[in-house]
Amino acid sequence: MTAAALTDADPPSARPDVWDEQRLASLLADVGEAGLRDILRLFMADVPFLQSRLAAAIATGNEHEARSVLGLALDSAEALGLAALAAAVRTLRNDPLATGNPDILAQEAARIRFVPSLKHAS
Amino acid sequence: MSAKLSVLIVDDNRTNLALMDMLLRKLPGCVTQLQTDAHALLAGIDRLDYDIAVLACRLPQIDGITLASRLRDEPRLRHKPILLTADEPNQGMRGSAADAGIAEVLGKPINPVEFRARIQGLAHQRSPQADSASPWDEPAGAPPEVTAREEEYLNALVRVAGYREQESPLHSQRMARYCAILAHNLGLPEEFCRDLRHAAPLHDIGKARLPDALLRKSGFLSPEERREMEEHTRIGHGMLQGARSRVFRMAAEIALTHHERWDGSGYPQRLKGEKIPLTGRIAAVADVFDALTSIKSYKTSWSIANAFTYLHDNAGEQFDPACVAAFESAREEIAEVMRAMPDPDDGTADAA
Repeated sequence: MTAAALTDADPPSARPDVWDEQRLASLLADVGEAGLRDILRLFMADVPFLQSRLAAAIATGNEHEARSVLGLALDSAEALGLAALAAAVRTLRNDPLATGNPDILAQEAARIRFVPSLKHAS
Repeated sequence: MSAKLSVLIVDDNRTNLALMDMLLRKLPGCVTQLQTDAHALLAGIDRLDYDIAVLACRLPQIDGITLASRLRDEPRLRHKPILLTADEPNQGMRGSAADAGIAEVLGKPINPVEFRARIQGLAHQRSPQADSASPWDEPAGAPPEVTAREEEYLNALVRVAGYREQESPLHSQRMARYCAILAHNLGLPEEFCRDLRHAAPLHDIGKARLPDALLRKSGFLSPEERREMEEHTRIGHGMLQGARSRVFRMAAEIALTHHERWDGSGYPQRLKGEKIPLTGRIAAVADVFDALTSIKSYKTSWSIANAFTYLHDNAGEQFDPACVAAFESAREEIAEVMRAMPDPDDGTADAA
């Protein structure tokens, strides 16, 4: 998943559980679709770094660092209304040093392909 | 300082920084300073200047409360208000924050409306001479005639909703006044209080889509009927969401969240504590208070004293304790609203 995947095109399909619709509607109204897309791009650009930091923490058994990375991911996911990602990260925090965690983080982030417009969110 | 309002934001999460930056830049004359590194900030404290600081509680090298103390050690910054953003802030954290001189604690994820309202409130504290036309009250956006038209639409909607409801025709209006009084006592800006007063009467608009048989049923509801009744929150939110209007957006939020409970046992989303938007927490207190002090098909009206006792006893379980405290401190104003807007033969005239 790269920032280039975030386009203005209508989505081919929408998995409704990706977004918290209430949060999404609030953000779209407050910062607009372009603003939300900008913030989302920023977060998506950070995801590979979060993923590699998490992998390094797991490799060295550094639970504190792993929790810190997952905390950042959760913070961002909740701020942006990324409900599915937030739920996944909460689960990962139960076992922050599990080897599959970086892949799960990447898989969940890959589901975020676009900023739905209000009509998609409702 | 050339800017009218300079806000320093310290957070190691760039997503949060970008979001808060965008929200604050909508306030006219507001400029932001963004910082992810608390140590770098402190290294340059001699040159640091701002009007309000927004600090994340969880920072990698130094926590937000300690950072606040360090900032307040600097004489030039001692009286600058600080807002702390925290994940699920508890009473212990709030106490530590208060000891460190932090003016406000806001739960994450931040609610955009509440965040701006808190900043506006702190801006007024910082500048008490600012009058109601302060430039950071909220972008004026719409010209007055549009706002007047919006009020007409709102009033029409309230009347339409009222035809279907089994509540007293004055319930929505009293409840809205209580909301505004409570918000005022929480120190929220007048603009927010005014919006709340206009938005709150639509809290039960979702009932307009419920069947008559359910709305008019006088006995206990079956579990299935109760679930159907609870859907009025989602229905109302669906009716109101997506509007550009600030008041309609606030109304949508209230419609969805006014039956949530502080302890997380409410509906429809079972939100807990500060995860419930402030507007919903305020509306919950006002709505229940008015329901208790009004005649219903299944009960007589409670005295104002008993209703306040109920709120007090349920603070921290059903209601946000801060909202209950703010409501209790407005007892005289509340009684005045009850006297001014009594239901026909409901006995509230002597309830105060």
